[in-house]
Amino acid sequence: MTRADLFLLLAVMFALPFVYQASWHNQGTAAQAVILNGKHEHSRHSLHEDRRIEVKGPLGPSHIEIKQGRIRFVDSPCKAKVCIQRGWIDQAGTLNACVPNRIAIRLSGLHEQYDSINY
Amino acid sequence: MIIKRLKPAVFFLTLILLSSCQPEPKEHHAGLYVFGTIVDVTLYGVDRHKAQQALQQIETDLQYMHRAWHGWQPGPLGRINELLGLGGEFSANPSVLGLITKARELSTASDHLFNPAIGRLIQLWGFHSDDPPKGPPPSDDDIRELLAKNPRMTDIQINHVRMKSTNPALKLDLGAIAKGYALDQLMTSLQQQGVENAIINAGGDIKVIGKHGERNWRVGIRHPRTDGVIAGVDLAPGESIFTSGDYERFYKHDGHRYHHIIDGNTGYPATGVSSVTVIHPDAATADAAATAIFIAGTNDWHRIAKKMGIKYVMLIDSVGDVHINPAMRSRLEFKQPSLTFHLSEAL
Amino acid sequence: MTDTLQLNTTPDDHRIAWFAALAVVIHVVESALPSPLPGIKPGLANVVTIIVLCKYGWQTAAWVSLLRVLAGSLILGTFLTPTFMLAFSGALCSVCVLYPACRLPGRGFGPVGFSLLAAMAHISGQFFTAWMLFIPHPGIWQLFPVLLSFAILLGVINGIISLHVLKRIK
Repeated sequence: MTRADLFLLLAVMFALPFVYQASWHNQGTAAQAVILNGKHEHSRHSLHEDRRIEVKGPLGPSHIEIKQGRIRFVDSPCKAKVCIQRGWIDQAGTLNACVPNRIAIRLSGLHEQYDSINY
Repeated sequence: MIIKRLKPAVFFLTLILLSSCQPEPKEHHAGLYVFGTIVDVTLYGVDRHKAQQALQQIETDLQYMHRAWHGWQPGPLGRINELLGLGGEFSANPSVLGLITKARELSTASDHLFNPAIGRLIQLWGFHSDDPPKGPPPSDDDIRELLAKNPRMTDIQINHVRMKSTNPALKLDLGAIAKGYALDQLMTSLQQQGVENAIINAGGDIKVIGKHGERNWRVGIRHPRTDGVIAGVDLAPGESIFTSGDYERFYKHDGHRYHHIIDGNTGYPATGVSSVTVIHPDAATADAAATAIFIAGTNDWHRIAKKMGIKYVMLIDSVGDVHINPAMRSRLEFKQPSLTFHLSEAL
Repeated sequence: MTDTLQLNTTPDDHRIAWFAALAVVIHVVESALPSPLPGIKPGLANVVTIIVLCKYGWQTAAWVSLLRVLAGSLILGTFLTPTFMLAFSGALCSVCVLYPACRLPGRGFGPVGFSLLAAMAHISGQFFTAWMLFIPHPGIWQLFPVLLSFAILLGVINGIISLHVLKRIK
């Protein structure tokens, strides 16, 4: 073995735990979004396929955007726009809703890390 | 040859199995829109039929509570608020009496930092309705005028169902306890219906009963300034976790930010704190305590928590430092690096 | 007058052909062996690639490696199937990593280092292809560190084997 071989092997052994951590640490990040319209499930989406979704609520259409593993309300025909202010969400167990328009997004993970999020 | 063809098949099958380890449909979810927020209910380990019945019952109960406990809309509490202002003795609607009694106890226990009697002040700030206000903030004079009348829960006299107020400025706003009280009642009702395992999240505040199968219910606490989780915690059966934060309801006016947690002693939104998280078996107590401890602030929080019998508290101040008691510290699994901790004495 | 088709082959071509043939044999034999864990195999055919790399340079090794995958898949009947795509992307990735690795100044890497780099590049390439083409589900990345660990172990073992073989044929 040359010195470079030895150095490489040590570097790899040192880095390996970090690879484990990086791959396994993100379990909490959500993989799937369930969109609820009223009490009923409207649709399910993987957060890994970028797209825009239109959901018709009692006030009119709300627009939801999925991009790079995150999801948000783009616009909604409510007065307060609390749902839009909330911005992007990506943690499993997180909920964001446009309450006046009765539309909600619920995120779930692969191995759901949390059953619910407290705030 | 067969082995060769089999191997990739097995490989992919394993990948797919590993990547789709969803729990069996032992869970039933429902999102209900009440209290101006979304109430997320998860029942575990019941069959579909029973789950649907229970969820239906919860919705009916919640809608009733919302109507009954709203201080500003026609309904039982709205009527009580009108009658309290008149000063005479009257018969209170029994559906609200228990809640008011509980609120009075907790208000006294919190040295009146949790003070549901300051309804008029809340109304002045505009935080009484389900829709967030736009500002501008009220004038100093208006605030001072209301403060001078100093309404407190002890101004209410309750004699069986008869009730009267000795302070005409008193108006009830039960916003900082109603959610907790509702969760306690819903869970009792679920248990009576034979549902043993459930978690209810009402706009971020949570109560659990039983477990999620073999393990406890697991909750992530959101960081008050980012969307990430600051810490995770396992809740024992029957526990609840409540957070009061300055980010929940607020408005901006002339570059100032005004949040909804009004300090009844100053008349202004409480300062110095971003959020307070409390874990306690009784959700109504947890709800009131989170508000009281928020108002108490970084100097006084420990005394108020102790006085209210709270065993687990985390306070995050406005610079992001974590003030916490040792038992809470050892329960929480912190997810963010480089947090500054101020460990208090035991509670 | 007879026209004969004359194929001008260099000694290098012959070397490539011979070594590729050897690698294909190992590749085919190995694929018939049952593996203790799906997705993991010793990759002994890579020993040939490493030896060629050390003795005849990168270009010859690259040819041997890619020919081995191509011919191996034709023999096993997996050409253009997912198995082939995974093997090919893995081999391509190793070859690409080995190029800068064998141009280090000084003594640089020996067979163990090359083998280790190739093995890690191989599994990473395979995973990326699997993710892009077949399972666009982030869940598969949870398997990645496990397979990477095996790749490191087997890469070092293959490297040591190459080292010994190289010593003997000197």
